[in-house]
Amino acid sequence: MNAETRLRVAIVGHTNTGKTSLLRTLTRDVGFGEISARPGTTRHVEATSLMVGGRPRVDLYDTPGLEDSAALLALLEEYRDRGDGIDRIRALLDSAAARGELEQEAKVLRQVLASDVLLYVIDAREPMLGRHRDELTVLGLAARPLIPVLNFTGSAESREAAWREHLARIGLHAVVAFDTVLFDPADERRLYEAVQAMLTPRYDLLQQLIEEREAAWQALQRSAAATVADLLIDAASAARRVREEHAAELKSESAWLQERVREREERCIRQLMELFAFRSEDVVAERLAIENGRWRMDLFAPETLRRFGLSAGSGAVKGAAVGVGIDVITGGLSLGMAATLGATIGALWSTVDRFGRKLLDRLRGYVDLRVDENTLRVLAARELQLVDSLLRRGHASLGQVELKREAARAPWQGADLPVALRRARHHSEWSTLTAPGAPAREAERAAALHALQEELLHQLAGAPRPAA
Amino acid sequence: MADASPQRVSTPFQRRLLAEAWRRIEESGGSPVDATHAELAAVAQGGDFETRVLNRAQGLARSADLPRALHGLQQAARRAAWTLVVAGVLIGAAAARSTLNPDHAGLVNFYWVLVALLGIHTLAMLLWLVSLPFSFSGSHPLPTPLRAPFEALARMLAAAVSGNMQRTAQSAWMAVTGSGALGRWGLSALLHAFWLAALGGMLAVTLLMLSARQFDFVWETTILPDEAFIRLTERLQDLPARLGLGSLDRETIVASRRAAERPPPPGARRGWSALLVGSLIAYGMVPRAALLVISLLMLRHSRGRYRLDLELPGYARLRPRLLPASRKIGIIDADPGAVDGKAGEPRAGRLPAARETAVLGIEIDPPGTGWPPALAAGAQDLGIAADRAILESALQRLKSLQDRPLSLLVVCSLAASPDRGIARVLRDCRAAHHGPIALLLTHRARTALRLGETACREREGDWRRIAIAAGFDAAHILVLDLDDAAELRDFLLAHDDQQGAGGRA
Ligand SMILES: Nc1nc2c(ncn2[C@@H]2O[C@H](COP(=O)(O)OP(=O)(O)OP(=O)(O)O)[C@@H](O)[C@H]2O)c(=O)[nH]1
Ligand SMILES: [Mg+2]
Repeated sequence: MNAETRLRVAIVGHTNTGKTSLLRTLTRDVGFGEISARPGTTRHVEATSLMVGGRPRVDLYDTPGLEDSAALLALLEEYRDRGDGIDRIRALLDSAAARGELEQEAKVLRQVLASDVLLYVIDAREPMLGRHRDELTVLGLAARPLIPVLNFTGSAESREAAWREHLARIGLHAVVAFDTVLFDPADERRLYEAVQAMLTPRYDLLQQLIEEREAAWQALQRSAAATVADLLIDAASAARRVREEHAAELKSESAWLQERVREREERCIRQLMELFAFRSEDVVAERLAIENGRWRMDLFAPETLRRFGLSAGSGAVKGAAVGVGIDVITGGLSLGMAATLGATIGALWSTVDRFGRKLLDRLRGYVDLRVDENTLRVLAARELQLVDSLLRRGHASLGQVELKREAARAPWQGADLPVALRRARHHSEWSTLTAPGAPAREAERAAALHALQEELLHQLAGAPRPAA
Repeated sequence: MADASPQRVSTPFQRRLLAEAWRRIEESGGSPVDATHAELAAVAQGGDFETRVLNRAQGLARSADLPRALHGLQQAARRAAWTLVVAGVLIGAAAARSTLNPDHAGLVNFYWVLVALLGIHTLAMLLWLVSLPFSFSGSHPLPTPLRAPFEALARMLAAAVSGNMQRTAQSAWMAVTGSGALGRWGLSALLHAFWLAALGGMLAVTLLMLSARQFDFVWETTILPDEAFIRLTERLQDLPARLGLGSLDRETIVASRRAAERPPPPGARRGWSALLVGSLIAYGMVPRAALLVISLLMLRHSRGRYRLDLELPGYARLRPRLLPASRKIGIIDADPGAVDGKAGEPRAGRLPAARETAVLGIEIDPPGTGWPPALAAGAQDLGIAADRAILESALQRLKSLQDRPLSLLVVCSLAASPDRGIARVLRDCRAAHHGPIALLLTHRARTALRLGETACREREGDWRRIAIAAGFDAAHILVLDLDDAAELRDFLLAHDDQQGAGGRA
């Protein structure tokens, strides 16, 4: 077989079983076709192609729902003398009914005849009914390999086991469960493997597809972790120098810093949505506070911390003036300590340089405002939670991703922040929030970012997967 | 230089630098206008993710003067490096000039001169060597004192640029060339070039002065044994001797001690001069030149190995667009535009006036409150039709009951899609029965849970529409959850009242 011949896959099934949804999820394309809970949404055959090796190789055809299989079957009965199944379908396609009341069914059958394999989508919440058998009988006449795909298997009403049993009794064993809304890469793999098993001549193409999807999945997770790490480093290293005595300055500067962190988090969320190819409108972070159309949960409300099982302790010293979530680094090192430190490690010029400057600032009455550790934990928890739900979100989902109320446990709770974040706290020049365009020590920041990325991947892998 | 065209950006390293600059520009908020165009082109050109990112950057570049800015920076950096070299030559020359200065007795202390010319150089070289292993551990490329000239240079460059684009280009350039392996070897090369130039300047002035003036080189000591200096000198000239520079014999050395008993032999001046020049070359220029070559080679190597960090958010977010999982083909078999009926008016339905009732379920599970539903006493149970065959036989039975005053109640699930298949079933029911006919839609709660309230109401409308189209009376379509005993009871109570009122009227 010519290596460049495309594989043609028709998605068929009763109306409203999620055929268009399946296509969206397989193609990671939220804009494909139209999805609605009303029947007969898709009224044409629409195609899209999966990219393999950078070229479109696997064509997927979305078809209208088979609504009136009984009439279809009755008509096909009339053509009993026309030859085999395919001939009978051809006869039907030439008939007047194919242009009239059975126009949509005819479209499906035309596409079926022009495909190499059929994915028959089933709403697993429904019982197996006569019409399902009718549909399978009609499709059987086309003599194409057929793989039943059980959709809605994440639903509590799913009757997956019963369906498997019923399908097995009519000789269909390669059944795949694939919930198009609750995405699971393992299910997607099984779907392609089922096609692979049915179409041995296209084994290599499908194997390549499976491998590329696997690699893309890994890259997606790594990129997501790096995106979150970037946010955390920006927030951890942000520092604002203020004069200690000026309460008003302290207050306005901390408000400024809080605002920057909020904006930065929004940017991170946008980046993540873009990375996963979802619409950025599809995320709502709680209804706690939505201000002029933008979602917003107040990161810096004490309640937020409490919800993540953290207490608002560290900012309390200057609490009244500064508000929760921002630390005032007054000491860190006392005069005497700095002097001894400076003397002992005098050999290392840059160290002296850094401490020296801090010491000088301290003497002049300046202090550093920083995002406190618990806020960093909350940020990490929220973003990890978002990544986790995006990883399990099919592109057919119509609902919004919600950063839930009952938050997952904040990471690194009761323990130190990861080394990379603690290092970031000493490098205000790493932060794009407070030092945009600072003389870049790129390699150092990048090293910290990647260390944190690994840590976040670790956290993601260990995240408990709640049942659907 | 003014006509720097995008084609100049050609080596892989320069292409990566350009992509890195774009990333910074885009991260800092200024999204380029025609990214879609560049992205489509990059996708069409194919290749792996990095190739596509680079092609995208190149595509964006055509419409902006970023490559020109980068090119300008490179030129400026090159000019700055040459300035540094020239400065090195001058500094070296000045150092040699002020060092080769005979005292009042017309004598020059050889070791004094040697230390003055090579001392700082040797210290700096040792510092570089010592700091090299540390620079690998991800910290600064070089310690502050060694980095200082470079940072001064960077500040000069930064001051020279104007405009947002230039500034971002500059910060990208600095970030890439000033950190990591590139920074380490770039800075090292600059450092060694500077010192080589300085040593070159020293050598030139030394040679000049040695040619045009007369120096009597001596050595002296107060507390060290003479033998130490003699040995030292012999060791020192081992290396220059290999270059043919350094042939002082023991007598000459001994005789060159300040205030020696015997005057130095005639060849002594030449011998010491040769040793001085030889030392400058062997201990200064040769190692520096070697280090410079090594640094330049390493710089080239690390430029070749430089890769974009594609996991950074600025690149990662391009992934779905540059490496799409799919490509739309479009509509193959278009819809000729079938007419879509209007949804029926939702209104509370009721059962037809009391008579004997036949009940037929279509594609439903037996309801929680039992089958047949307790809506009509003594109902004729036509069963639940899960497929066409059962339906046919149920309709046969219905036909056989037509001589009785019978009303038919068809029970469907609201959770099922009101499609054309179901519409046909409803039409068949209507056709098989002459008396009043009613449709009961059960599973409202379940449907609302599945679809949400709005879509559920929409679905109710769709059911009404197909039922009315099949010949059902809008007044006889009711939504009632047969799984909910309480709802059923309430309905029956209300229904009885209605029936009573109707009977009295
Ligand atoms: N919860 C859930 N809903 C789903 C799933 N798959 C599809 N849906 C919903 O089911 C409805 C029908 O989905 P579509 O993709 O339009 O179904 P279709 O088979 O293309 O329908 P037609 O084009 O009308 O034949 C939509 O409301 C979807 O949101 C799923 O796996 N889980
Ligand atoms: Mg559809």
